[in-house]
Amino acid sequence: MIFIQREEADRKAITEMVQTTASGCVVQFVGVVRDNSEGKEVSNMTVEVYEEMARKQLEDISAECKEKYGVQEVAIVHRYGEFKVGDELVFIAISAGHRNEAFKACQYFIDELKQRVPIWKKEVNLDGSYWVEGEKRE
Amino acid sequence: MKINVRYFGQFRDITGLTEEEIETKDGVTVIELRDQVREKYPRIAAKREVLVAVNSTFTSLETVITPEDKVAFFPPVSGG
Repeated sequence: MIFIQREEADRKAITEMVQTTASGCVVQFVGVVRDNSEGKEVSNMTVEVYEEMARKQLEDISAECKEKYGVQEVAIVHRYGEFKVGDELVFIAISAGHRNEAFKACQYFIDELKQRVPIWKKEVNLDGSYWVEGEKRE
Repeated sequence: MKINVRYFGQFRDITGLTEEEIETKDGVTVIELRDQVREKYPRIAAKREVLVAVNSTFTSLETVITPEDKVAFFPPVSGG
């Protein structure tokens, strides 16, 4: 379940979507805008997405989570647009029979997202705005 | 032939474009087109990494591009 949207995630509804009768847990990850980056203050943030490709990459990562860790359902909400400190940018919910595989899959999901899903942050502070340099892929 | 190229993130600011058509040779590969874009935009050439996606996938640098392909250039991603 992939959601790329401006609106805040309905975390309760998404959690209910991934939970099955065979689920023993749902592990959730919430990524929020913090007030600093590399020693500089951050007041606002813009998030841009290449939606078509992001959707494909997120679908691939979801499938890999199920294949590698045997989790049941995976849902991701990634927002784009204008944000302020404290806003929720990302919500991941993963259901599984037991906690170990769900925690591992959630870690895998967010790590892969930061490597290969085409989304970019532009941070704003008193000095102006600047694009966040992503981690190198290779 | 002409290849339609899209730009995202900082590359959109650098080029001032969301997309453009680039005239290039038939049978151009990803690495050749990347070199051409770097030559056209020195500020992109100065970046430590230039990512290229073809049809929403990170393909091999030797992949041959056709006019039907969806090609995108962008810097390392920073979502999440």
